[in-house]
Amino acid sequence: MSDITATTRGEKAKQLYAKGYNCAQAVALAFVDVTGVDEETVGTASAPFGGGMGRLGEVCGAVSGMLMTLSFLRRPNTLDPREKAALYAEERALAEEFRAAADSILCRDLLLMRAGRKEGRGLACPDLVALAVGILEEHENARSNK
Amino acid sequence: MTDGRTTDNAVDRAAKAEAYFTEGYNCAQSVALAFADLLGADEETLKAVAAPFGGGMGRLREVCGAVSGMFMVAGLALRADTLDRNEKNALYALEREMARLFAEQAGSIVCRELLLTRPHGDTHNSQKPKCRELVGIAARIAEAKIFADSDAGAAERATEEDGKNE
Repeated sequence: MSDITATTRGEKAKQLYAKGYNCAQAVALAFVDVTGVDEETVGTASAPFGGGMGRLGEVCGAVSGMLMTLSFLRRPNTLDPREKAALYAEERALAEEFRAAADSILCRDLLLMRAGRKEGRGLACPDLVALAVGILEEHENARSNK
Repeated sequence: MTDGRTTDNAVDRAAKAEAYFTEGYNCAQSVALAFADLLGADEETLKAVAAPFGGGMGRLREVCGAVSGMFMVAGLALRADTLDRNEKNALYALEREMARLFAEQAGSIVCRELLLTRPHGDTHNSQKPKCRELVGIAARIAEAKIFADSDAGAAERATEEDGKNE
């Protein structure tokens, strides 16, 4: 998708997270070179999705950041039912990949797994951020190689 | 403080959001677009950034897109410096307060639970009256909690009114 490889983009996202950006921001900001959306807009639009949406424990912000980035890459005309359905189908595919690799897409479950209080891999937030980046990168690479 | 139901502005925003929904924009887009004049992002960007949150995220039926749209409006309007812990916590606290109000008025913030009473298939938005109503609720709460209650909101409105020379 660009000259940045999946690994280095995942590292970039992890660095953003370490710097203090939340999970959603770290994923979305790691792709600004390919989405063509300014950092200010990406950072402020994704900010509310950290901590499963303001620490509500809902959908993991790394997933939200990944889906937001997908939409920036596609820019579908969602008034066309087929384009909308295609975006949604891609989202579900990406979310399922995340679920398969992390055992949940919900922040509250992921945190419980991390704490050893629920069965699952228990990936740490920086690793979930890198996972989301990697899934989208691979998805894009597979698509461009079709 | 308001309960997110009462101001004239909130009624206007809700009507605007519901009109976008009727036009065919998804729940998240409809809420975000209703505040486009206050967000400093162009409409095409708003449509793209909110698009994936419709149908509880691509029909995953997770968090209602109207709720995600309302959160996104908060993020774009308040432009919190989230590297500052206090600013981040304030944004998150505002989100939880808006979510609480939404759940109080709608029964839940989760798409699959909200749709239990009015399930709909892949159909035109005119066949989703429940969703249109949820879009209105989210817009009213966003107007009340982001723009009416906060100093930042007051400043935004003052700027907007200056711009109109009113």
